[in-house]
Amino acid sequence: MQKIQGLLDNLNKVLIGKESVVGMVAVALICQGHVLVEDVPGLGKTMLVKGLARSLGCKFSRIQFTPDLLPSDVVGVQVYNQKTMEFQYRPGPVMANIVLADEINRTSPKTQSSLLEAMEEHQLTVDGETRPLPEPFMVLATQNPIEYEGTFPLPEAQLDRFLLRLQIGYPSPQHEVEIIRTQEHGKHPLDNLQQVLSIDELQSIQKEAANVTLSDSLAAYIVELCNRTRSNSSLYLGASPRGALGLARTAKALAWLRGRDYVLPDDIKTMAVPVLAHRVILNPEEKLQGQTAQDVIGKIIKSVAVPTH
Amino acid sequence: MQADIIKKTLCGLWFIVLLAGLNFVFDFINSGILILVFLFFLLADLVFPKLSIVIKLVVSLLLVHRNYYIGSFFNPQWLTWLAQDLSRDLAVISQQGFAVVQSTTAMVLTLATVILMQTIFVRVFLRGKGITFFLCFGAALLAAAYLWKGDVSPWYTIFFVMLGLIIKATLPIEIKATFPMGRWLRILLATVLALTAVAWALPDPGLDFSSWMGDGMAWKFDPFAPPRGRVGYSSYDGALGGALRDDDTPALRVTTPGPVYLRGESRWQYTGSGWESSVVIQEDFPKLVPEHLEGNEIEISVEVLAPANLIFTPRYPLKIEVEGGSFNVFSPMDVQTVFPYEHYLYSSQLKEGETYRLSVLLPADDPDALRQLTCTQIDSKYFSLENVTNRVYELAHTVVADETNGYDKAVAIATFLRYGWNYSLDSQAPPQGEDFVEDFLFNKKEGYCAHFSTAFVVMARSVGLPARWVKGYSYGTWEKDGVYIVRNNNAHSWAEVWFDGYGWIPFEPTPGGVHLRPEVGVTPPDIKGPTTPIPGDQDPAPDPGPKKPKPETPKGKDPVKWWPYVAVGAVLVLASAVFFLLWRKRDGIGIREAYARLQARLRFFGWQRRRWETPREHLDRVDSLPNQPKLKGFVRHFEDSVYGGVQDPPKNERQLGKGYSLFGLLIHRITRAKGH
Repeated sequence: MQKIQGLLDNLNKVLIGKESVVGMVAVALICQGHVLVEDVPGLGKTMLVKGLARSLGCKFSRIQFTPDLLPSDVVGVQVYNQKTMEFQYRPGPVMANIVLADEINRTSPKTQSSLLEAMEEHQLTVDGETRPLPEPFMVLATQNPIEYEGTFPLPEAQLDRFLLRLQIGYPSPQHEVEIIRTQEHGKHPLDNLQQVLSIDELQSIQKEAANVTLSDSLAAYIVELCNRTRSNSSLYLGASPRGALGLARTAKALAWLRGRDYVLPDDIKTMAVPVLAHRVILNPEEKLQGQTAQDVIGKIIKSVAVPTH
Repeated sequence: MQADIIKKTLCGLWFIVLLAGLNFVFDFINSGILILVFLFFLLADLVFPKLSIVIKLVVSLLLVHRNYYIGSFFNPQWLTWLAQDLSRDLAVISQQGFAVVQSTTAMVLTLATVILMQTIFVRVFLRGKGITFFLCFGAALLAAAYLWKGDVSPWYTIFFVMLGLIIKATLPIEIKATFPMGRWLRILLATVLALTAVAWALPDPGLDFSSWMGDGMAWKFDPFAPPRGRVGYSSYDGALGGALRDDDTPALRVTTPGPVYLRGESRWQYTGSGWESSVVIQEDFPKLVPEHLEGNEIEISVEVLAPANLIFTPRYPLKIEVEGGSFNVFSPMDVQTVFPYEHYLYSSQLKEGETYRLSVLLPADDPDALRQLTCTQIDSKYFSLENVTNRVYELAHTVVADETNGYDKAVAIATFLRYGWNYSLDSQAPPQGEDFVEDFLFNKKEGYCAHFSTAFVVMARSVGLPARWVKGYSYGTWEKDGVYIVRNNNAHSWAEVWFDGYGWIPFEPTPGGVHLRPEVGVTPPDIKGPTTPIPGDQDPAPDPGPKKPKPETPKGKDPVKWWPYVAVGAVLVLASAVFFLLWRKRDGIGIREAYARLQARLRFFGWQRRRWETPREHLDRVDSLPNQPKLKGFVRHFEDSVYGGVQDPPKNERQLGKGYSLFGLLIHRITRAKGH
């Protein structure tokens, strides 16, 4: 618990005033899930990921997605070594613990899917040869929700692979002042970060979080929430069982982070929007009326009775 | 410590100002029964804090029932009568004020006030809560009372508000009476409560509980007063006078088309201190009901509620039927007619629940006809001037100086008495050797029916009218349509004057307008006086027998009906046992049950958890509920149990305690009008 608190402190230093986002990232880390950050540039996404990597003392890489990026630019290539007369694998940037996939919707679906296989399977296939990825492996992808021109929106099947979708949002004026002050002398708080958590420790935390109790009634509550997304008239597509699974895992991780060994309905409610909102598709009419998936999930939460037995 | 004492003293003073102010208007706070009820409610709050409001309501209903609606407590019909009484009276109050309400309504209102005052007392002065509420409420109550009374003097209100503001401004009040009560003390107090309730529930307590229960509204606390007799019909009238206590034990239930005076016996020999109660000898007597007398013949039935051997009947009874046997008034079979229209002694004791039926002629007495009649052809004993003092004799002659005929003389004396002297049950007995009537007329100048009626007879004889003294009951209290309950405090005495060829005509010399409703029944001779009831004087004029307070009791003669008492007692003991077990059980309920009950209570005020809310979200929403830390801990334990599968916490964590009973929440709701 102290270790994870150190991690959170570190991240809060680089992403000032965004405790909830930091918490969500920690949840994703504990759950070994990937995060899609949907927000405009310049809000500190890269700093967040760098801070995370530095706190864990693990390898970080960043891929800037562009329309001409090829799958081999992501996963790496077999290069013919003339000395050994053999093909030798040159790992791509994805061969790291923490990967920042910047503006993932700017590249072609082919390249996107090469990353997505790695995300789901924790392994790579290059020229028929399968290679495992290092543990832990976590992708933080970003996409800009404002621009549509020249983008390839991620297909639903691929969105489903992200455990969480987060919005960072602008900092409050006070926090923004604080950001300016901390970086006044050309120094970035990132430079002072120490490693606070080893890979082993992270794995034991992951084990502990998986042992958090989820009562039967709350499991049923999660299922009911997901079921309601499937029958909701505002939604064209509801959440998959993977969504339910993700909600359960993240709720456990959040409960652990909050220092409990059992899940509260409050944990589930907190996680419902980040976990479910990107897995559902709004009806076009609703979209035209300015509804968002978050709104609909919020309404669904208010329509399901919290079990108290 | 010093400050604490000052606080408590100030608060006590504050409460007393309110009570005194209200008493100044309503004049009821001193009544013994109310003090006892107040204490009883206080005890209930102490022993059963959660159930106390239920206990208070049930006991209040018991008291009302016992006093005004004799019969089965569990027959809901009496509740409908009560509701009718209340609704009718409440409608009238707004127009005519409190003077016209029936005693039922008066009692209900008074009990409600007691509950309110006691609740305030506990809340403000034992728990130190709701000072602001009490300040506003008390000030409004006082101001309203004085406005209603038409009294413009606002001193009590001003004093009350000033004192309240001082308390409010200067003292952070933390008066808390914590009563560390052991289990056995609790059981003991619970038993005391149960026994008191049983005692109040009994319609006619075999043990004389009513003596410590107080004497209704009439009794004022006065530790130095000599012991009082109680009102009621008694056969001994040898020494009249002396202060009386009220007694509302029911005696008869009368089914009649309209209210009637019920005549019991009469006396003729005045002794100077009372009436000689020698039995009247049967004698040849002119026919009682004159041939030419016209009037309505009505049927009346009388149910005996307290054993007696006397038949009470309005004038003139034509036929009396007792349980199967019937007889004419002039040919007694089962009834021993000691003297025609003197009184009717039944040959055996009339038991409780027995009924006799009467056919009665209600004559329409014509004053003009009576003025023509002489008053001479009657036994000389009714003219007796034995023991009549000179002062009384002269006074009587002064009063009738302008009158020429017997009827007008009698009316003049009755009117003179009715408007010249005050009615009071507190009138003391005359000093040794002093003439009763002279003491009343010239020294005491106040008294009750015995004083007025005796004075009338003596004065009437002084001016040469043949008169006798009559005892019986007045109308009683309305129970339902056509049914009246006659109680001991309806015992009454009046006088009759003989008119040749016409018979004995009753005269009512006692003030008390309500007795003189002329529509049916006794036609009062009060021609000159008001014909409508005088509002405000509803006190029935009670019986004059202070030394032998109660009628001869039937103990030993009758098999006492003990089983209803045992049944009521058993039910109450059982109920208290169940209460007690439930109360013990409350310690045994789990946190989930406790949470569910809390929600059920909150639901009354709309503060319950909404279905989609988690317990914590609900907690955040109701953050103005009292004692938040306790509530938070309680919800945490509930979450532990439901979602974490953790064992129930210790007992004190499972209880929310003060402020979370239904009543506590109600007070919270009232004092925090903004709500949630």
